[in-house]
Amino acid sequence: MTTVVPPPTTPAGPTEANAPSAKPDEEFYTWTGKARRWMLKTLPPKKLLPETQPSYVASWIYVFGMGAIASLAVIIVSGVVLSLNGPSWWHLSSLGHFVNSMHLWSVEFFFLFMVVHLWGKFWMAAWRGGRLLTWITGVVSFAVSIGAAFTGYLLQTNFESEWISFEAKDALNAAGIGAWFNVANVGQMFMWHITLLPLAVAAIVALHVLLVRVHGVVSPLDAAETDTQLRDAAFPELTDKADR
Amino acid sequence: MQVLLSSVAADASTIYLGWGAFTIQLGNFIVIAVMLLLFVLALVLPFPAGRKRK
Repeated sequence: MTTVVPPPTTPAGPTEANAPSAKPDEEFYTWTGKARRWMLKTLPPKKLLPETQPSYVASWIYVFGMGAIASLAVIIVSGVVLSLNGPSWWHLSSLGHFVNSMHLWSVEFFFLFMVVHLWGKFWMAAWRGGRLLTWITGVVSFAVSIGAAFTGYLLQTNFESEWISFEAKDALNAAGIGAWFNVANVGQMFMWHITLLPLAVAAIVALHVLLVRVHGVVSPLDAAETDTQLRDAAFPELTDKADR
Repeated sequence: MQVLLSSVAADASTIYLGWGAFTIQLGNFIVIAVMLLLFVLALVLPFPAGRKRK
């Protein structure tokens, strides 16, 4: 832990000391200060939680990303409820069976919305304007979600999941990782499904959404470059609108 | 016991659609058809006008 170093400026009045954001010429000596300055520069509060959205976002194609996130929330909540009671619950209890079905169908909706979101983003070339990492995190979250769904499929603890696991075993052995990622090892598949993969999906989805906030929603392909919305979205700090 | 058996009951046999070497479950086929329909509808349906528009 570094010792606290007082700032080099002369003792400041109450307003200056309480200023939430850094002055441009202020020098930081700690990693926390540097991190705060970087975060505020990359994603100021008005960009992180915007009040308005560009008018072109008022279109149905833009609801599917949020639909995927809403489905993910239901997946996580239903998954937590299933974890509270353990695997036998969804076989023996009608409420358990219902929550299990909620978990499956929220996964179906998650993939439905995510893939339609993917189609929309592909055809509008949403990687434009420095948004490559947004696109890539989207692809990665798709791949990791498939892994999460697959391990979930193995945990049905019925004859179907046994069939799935031994078909998958052949494939993963052929790929060379079957000895390590052992689909017949229920404990391992369980930990991957309820711990590792949900954390991975949540982290990647959070990064994806933050990147959308950083770069803004991509403008339509045929939008004019002189459109003031595009300029204002890119440089909100230069506008004089009070609600930004 | 009867309740337990019926909760693990034999499902109705799965319906498969097939053309040549390609087979797909009816449920999956419906999901994919709904996805395509939603995509097209999202592009053509008008969006309700908001209170404040830039």
